Amino acid sequence: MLPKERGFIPKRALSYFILALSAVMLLAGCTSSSPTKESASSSQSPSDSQSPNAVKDELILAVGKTDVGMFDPKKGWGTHAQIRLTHSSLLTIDSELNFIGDLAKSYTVSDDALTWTFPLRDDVKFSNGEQVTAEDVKFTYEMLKEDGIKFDLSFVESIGIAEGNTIVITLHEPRSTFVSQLTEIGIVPKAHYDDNYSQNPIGSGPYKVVQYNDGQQIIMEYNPYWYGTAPQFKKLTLLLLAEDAALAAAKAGQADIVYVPPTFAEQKVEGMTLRAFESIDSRGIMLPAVPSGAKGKTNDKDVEVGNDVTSDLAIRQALNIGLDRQKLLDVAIGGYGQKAYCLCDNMPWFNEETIVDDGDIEGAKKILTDGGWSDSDQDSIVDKNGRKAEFNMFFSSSDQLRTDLSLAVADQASELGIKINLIGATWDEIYVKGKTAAVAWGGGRHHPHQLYTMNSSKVIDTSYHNMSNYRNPKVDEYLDKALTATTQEEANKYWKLAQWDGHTGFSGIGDAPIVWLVRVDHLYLANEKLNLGKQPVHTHGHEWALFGNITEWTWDN
Amino acid sequence: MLSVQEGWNVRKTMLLLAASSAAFLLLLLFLGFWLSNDNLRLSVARNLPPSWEHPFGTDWLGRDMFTRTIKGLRLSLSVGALASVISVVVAIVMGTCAAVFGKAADAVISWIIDLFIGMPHLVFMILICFIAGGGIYGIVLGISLTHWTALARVVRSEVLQVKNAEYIQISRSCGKSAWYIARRHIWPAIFPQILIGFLLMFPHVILHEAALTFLGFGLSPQTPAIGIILSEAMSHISTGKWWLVVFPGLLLVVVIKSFDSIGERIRILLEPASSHE
Repeated sequence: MLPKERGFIPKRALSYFILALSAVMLLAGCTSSSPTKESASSSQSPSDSQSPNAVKDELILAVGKTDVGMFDPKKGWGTHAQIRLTHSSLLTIDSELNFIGDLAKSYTVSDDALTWTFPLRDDVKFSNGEQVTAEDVKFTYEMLKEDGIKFDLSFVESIGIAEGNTIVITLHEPRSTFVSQLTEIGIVPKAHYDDNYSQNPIGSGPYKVVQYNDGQQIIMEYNPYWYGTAPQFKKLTLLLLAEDAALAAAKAGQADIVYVPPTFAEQKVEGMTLRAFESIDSRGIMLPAVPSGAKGKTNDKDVEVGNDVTSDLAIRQALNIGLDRQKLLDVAIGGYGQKAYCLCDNMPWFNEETIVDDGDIEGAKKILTDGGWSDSDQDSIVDKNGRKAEFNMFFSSSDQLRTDLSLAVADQASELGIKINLIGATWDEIYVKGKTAAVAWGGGRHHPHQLYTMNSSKVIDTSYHNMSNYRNPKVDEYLDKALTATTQEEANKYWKLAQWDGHTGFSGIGDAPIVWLVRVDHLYLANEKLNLGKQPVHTHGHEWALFGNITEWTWDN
Repeated sequence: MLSVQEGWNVRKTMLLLAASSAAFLLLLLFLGFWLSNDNLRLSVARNLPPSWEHPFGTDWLGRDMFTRTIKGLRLSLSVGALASVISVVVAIVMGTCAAVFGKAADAVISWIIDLFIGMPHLVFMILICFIAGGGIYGIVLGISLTHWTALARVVRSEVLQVKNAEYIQISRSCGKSAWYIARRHIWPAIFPQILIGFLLMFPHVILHEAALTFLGFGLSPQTPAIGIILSEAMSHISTGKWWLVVFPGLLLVVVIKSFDSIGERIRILLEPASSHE
């Protein structure tokens, strides 16, 4: 024992020595690195101080970590409002949500809503200097129609080119949401489009992509051939950072604007102010509407479908009126949001009859009792025929907001006697298991097409549409009528009826396959000198919703 | 020396220290059951720094951090106890079999022990946990299947040593069965080693439980587990909410240290010869 002990002491001393040494080296590392950082920032500041009137023409942004369908419409570039920086589309929307021409000078629709005519601008060029022609538009639409995955253009009969640089699109049947797709589809050059387009994107937007490091950053520079108003900022560096890293970058002065989740909203960063933008970005709980045991598909994978608890209408309706939306807003997102009763609150196609007096615990308990649920064994969870009102709920664990909202929902549901077990997961797992359990769901666009994809029984088993496997013939009928309406007014009438027609509907007071709860404000910490112009109501996706009016952004010295 | 033994002595100090550590742990356990689950409810009292009402402050959803921490440690202690017991049982069985059932069994078991030790510890646990489907069940399984090896080796060598002792040879010549010998002669002899091994395994197991819950593994964020608390707090350190991480972390260290101290003291008391080292 003794010799061993002797060996031990020097070893211990040695380990202390090494510890001390590493501490010294760590400190030395810090001190040697900080001067370089200072010199980097000081090399920037003189240029600012010497010429205070110099126009700042570079922006560093950390507005979200997104890597969906990079730059290629076929991979989904445009489905989350991404295209405004890099591409132009036939139409676009202004800050009042009106449809205005972009690539098209104007547009006309025939009375039967089957023929759409777009005279194109003659002065539009891609970032490589080549003219954007009607051929390119025709190519883009035909390519996406053939692909049919990210953009459903199956109702398009043909795309023709008419005299005078004009595109004529004919449809099989009227489609009221087509006009929105026209704003989402970015035009790609026929001559340069291939499977590697993501690596070498050429578009006709105000910026061109000069560098994209997968999952790290996107660098964009001004496209000198851009036909619209020249933006003040000639270079954009988008850092793809996680939420807390983005905040750290803002504190270190390394970014001009960062996205912050509501939990970080009260952070004070010198020289930066909080910008909150109302959005139609809604959050709710998707609840399977069929009992367990069924099979189905999500994103082309075979999955299990159904949940025995959430398929009971009383449970879904009780959650709709029992959950206190204002309290959810206060607790989970610090009050930075609005109540939501549908996916489309305050939009022209929103049915205001679906607004309920929520937080009504007595009312919710009555619905449960009428539905046959009672707490027979006094464990404060209601049950029916021996089955407890208990189900799993998935949420994206990398999303702070959905995590917090899910916790708050589960907390409130326990007051109703409904036990929700939360499971954090990645989206890949959620798509596989999500049809057997509740999911913290999100959505919201400037157009009503999602009302169709989330509630029509015709899209069950395609992509991740209608995850609840909800099926109501009456709702299907209204949705079809809305989709094929010839005018927006007629379409809106049917969208509203699909939500609630006095007897049935997919909204919370109807069948409630998705209980919508809140609309979240999009929050950004931005340099106080950065003027973001007049922002429209944001759509789902805080990463790209900002950039619709990028050409209006200014730096006010 | 004599005068010391009559009054206050080192042995009593040791006992007192061990007893106070044990009392501290029992207090935590008691608090874990006594504190109301209502404190885990969300409220608008968000982001409060430590105060008398909330000794550890509240988190960004208004949950009382003191309750969460104590309940988290209760989970750690239960998982730790369960996993330690399983590990000890496995270790005793493996160690005894290796020593008693001859060369072939010894070779096989030693090989298994080497195999388990050879795998990187944390990776192995994650693997088992993942295969078992996560959750508390996966965590307990993952931890208990990886921690028995060192103790099994100790048990094996102890048993080998004891086995050849004269009284056991005599017992065998008297026709006692192997089971009788194992039960009446061998296990009592190695009991101190096992007890110490059990106690010293606790901190190890609890730390690994914290590591696994830190990584997630199917535990719901509703469950107060010390690893979950720490990993959640990570994303809030950048916003200056130090109390979310300092108090739970500190308490975890104190709990670990208490177990370590109990184990060490008992080891010294049971093996008085080693107290002079």
